[in-house]
Amino acid sequence: MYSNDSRSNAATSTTTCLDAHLVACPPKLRRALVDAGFNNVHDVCHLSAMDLARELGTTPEEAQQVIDLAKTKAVGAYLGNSVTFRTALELFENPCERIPLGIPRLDAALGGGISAGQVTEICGPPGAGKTQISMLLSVTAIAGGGSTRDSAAGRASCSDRGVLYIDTEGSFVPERVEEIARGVLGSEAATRQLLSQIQYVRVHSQVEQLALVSDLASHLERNRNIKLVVLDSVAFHMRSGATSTSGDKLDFSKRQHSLANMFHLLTKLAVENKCCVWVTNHITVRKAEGGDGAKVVPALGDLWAHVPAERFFVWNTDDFRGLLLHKSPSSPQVLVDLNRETGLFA
Amino acid sequence: MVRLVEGLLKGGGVDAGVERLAKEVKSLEAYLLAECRDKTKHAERERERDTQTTETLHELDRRVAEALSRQVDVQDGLALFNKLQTSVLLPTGIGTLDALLGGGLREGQITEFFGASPSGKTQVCHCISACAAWLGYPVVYMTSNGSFSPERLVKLSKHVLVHFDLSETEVVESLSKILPNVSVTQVNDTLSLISIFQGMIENFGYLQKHDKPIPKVVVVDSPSLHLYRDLSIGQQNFGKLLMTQLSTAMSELANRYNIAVVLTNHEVRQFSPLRGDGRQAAADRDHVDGPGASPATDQGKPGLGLLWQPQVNVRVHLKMHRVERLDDGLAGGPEGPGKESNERAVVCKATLIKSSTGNCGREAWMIMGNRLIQGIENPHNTENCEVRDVSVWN
Repeated sequence: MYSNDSRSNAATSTTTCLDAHLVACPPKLRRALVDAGFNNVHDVCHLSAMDLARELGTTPEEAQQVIDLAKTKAVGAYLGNSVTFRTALELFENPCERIPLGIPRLDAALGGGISAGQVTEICGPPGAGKTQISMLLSVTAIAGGGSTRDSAAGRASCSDRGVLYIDTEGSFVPERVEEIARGVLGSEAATRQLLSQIQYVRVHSQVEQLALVSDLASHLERNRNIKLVVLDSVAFHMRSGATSTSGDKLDFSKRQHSLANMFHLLTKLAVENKCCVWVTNHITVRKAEGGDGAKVVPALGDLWAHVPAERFFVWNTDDFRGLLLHKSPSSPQVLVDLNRETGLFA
Repeated sequence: MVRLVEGLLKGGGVDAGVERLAKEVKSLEAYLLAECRDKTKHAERERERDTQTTETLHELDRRVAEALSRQVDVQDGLALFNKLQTSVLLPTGIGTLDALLGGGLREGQITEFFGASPSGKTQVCHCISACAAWLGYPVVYMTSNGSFSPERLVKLSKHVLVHFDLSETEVVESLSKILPNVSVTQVNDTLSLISIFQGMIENFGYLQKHDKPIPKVVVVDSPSLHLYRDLSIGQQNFGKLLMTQLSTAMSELANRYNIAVVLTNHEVRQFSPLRGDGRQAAADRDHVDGPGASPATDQGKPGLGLLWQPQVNVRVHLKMHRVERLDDGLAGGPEGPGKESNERAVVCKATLIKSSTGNCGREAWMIMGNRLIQGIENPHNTENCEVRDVSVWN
C-alpha cells in the first residue's frame, strides 16, 4: 500500500527537482548551481557545457560533469518506477526458481536447491570436487527435475533452459559432463541435446575475465534461456594479478576496484536476469584468532566474502567427502557426506 | 536549500534592498556562508544608494537566522524525556539480545550489526523484521546481495513469536499478518540507496499527513558492500562523499520519523597501525601476518573506517561458534538442532561495542538452528559443552 503511494508521489516530484540528481555532485558545484538559480533538471540539460560553465563560474569540465549527472535518467528512475518494493507475502507466494543440487537432503534444507537471483559460492582445496559439482549442477539445471529417482523411471526429458559455463582454469571435461548427463537422462539423443545447451567460454587472463563479466548482461539479454552462469573459478586470475611483477602491474587500489566492480556486476546480473550465478573459489589460510594455528577461509578476502548469499565448502579425506552448507539466508549450517549420498558423485 | 527571498518573506516583508541582495546571494545557506567582507560590501553599496528603507546588516543577519531556525525544532529535556517514556522499544525476538540492547531497538536510532561472513547478521535482520511486522509496523527491507529469504522469515517467525507467548495456532495465523507488512527490494548501488532514503524522507511526511502508517523499521543488508566499491575508485573523495550523504540521509530519516534503522557491516582487522584504514577489508588476506600485527588487533573492527563509525548509534559485534559437544539444555530438548546428524549446531556471540544507554563490552549468546532460535546462557559456563570457532571447518 505504502509503496504505491510513495512511488506515484515520487514520480511527480522528480520531474522538477534537481537535488536528487546531484547526490554525487561535489558540494562546491551544488552551491554554484543554487547560487546561479538552477533548480530543475530541464534548465541544465539544454545548456552546453560552455554556457553552463560561464553561468556557474566553473571550468567546462566541471560543468560537463553537472550536465552528465543531470541527464542520467538513473537517479530519477530509481525514485520513480524502477524501485519496486514487493511484500514478503508476494515473494513467499511466488518463490524464485531453484536449481536442484541433486543431493536430496541438502535440497530439502535449501527449499529446493540453489536459488536464482543470488550469487552462490563453492570453495575447497584443489581436487575436492568443485568442478565436478559445477558440472553436475550444469546438467541438473537443464535436465529439470534433477533427482535421480525421476530419471530412473527412464523419462528422458530436457528443458529448454541454457547454461553458460565460464572456465578460467581449463578444467571443464566434456566427456565427464556427457557421462553425468547420460546418467541423469538415460537416452543418447537427450544427452546430445543437453550438451548443446551448455555454452562454454574459456578465459585466459584477468583482463579477459573482467571484460567478459562486464559484457555478460548483454549476452544474457540475447540468450534469455540461460538460467545458470557458472564461473569456475572466480579466483584463479584475480589472485595471480596480485603478485604479477610485470611492467603494467596493477597497483593495489586499482586491483581492488576491478575486483569490487566484478562483484557488483555478478550480483547485479543474478538479480536483474533472475538467473543463478554459481562461482567456485580457492581457499587460503589465515592466522587464527588468539594466535594458535591457522584457519581455512575462502580466497579473495573479506570484500568478496560478503558477496555470495550462499556458500558451500567441499573437502576430501580418505573416507569422507564432506559438503558443508557454510552460509545461507534460508537454512542453518548443514553437513553431508557425499559418499553416502546419491550415486551421481560415485 | 531555501531561497533567500522566500525564506525572508515568511518572517515579514522584503524590501528592495533585500531583493537586490537576492540577485547575488540566492539562498539562506549561501548568505550564512558568505564572508563578512561580501556582506559589508553590500551594505556599503546600499548606503551609497541612500535608500531610506534599507535594513541594517545586523538586522538582516537576525532575520536570516530566524528564517533558518524555523526549520529547526527546539525541544527541552522534559519533552524529550516524556517522548522517551512513550517511545517504542522494538524487540528483536531473541531474549538475550534484547537484554543486551536494553530492551530492544530504540526508535530514532541507527543500529549496526557487524561481523565476518557468516556470523548471523542476516538472520538477526530477519528476526527483527518478523517481530516488527507482527507488532503491526510496516518494515522496509533492502538487500544488496539478494539474501532476503521469505521461507526463512516464515521459519524464524515461528521461533521468534514464542517471545510473545503465542500458542501454536496463533503463530500460524499470525504469518498472514507478518508477510504483507514487509516490503523488500534489491539495491544495486550506493546512489540508488541514497535516493531511496531521500525519497523516503520526502514521502513519509506526505504519508504522515494523510494518517497512513509509515514504516517503523528500515533494514539495509548491507550498505558496506556497495560503499566499498565506491571507496575503491581512484578518487577517494567520491566514496567518502557518498558515505557522508548516505549517513546524513539515514540519520535524518531515523530522527524525523522515529524509525529504527538497522544496518549490517563488514568486519575488518588491522594488520598494522600504519595501514589501519577501513579500506583494508578489501585486502586479500593471503599474507596475513603483517609486521605490525599485535594481539590486540585480533579483535575485529567494524568496516568502513573512522568516518563511518560515529554515524551509528548502537553497534553490536556478532561472531559464530560451533558447538562440539552438545548439552541437552543447550540443544533445547529433544527437538534441538544437534539431534539430526547433518545439521550443525551453531551458537552466536553478540558483543555490545557502542551504545549510549547500555554498558559496552557485555556479551549475549544465542543459538541459531532450524528448529529454534533463542537466547542461551554463556556456553562456556555450561559443563557438557565445548565451543569452537566456526570458521575452522575441518
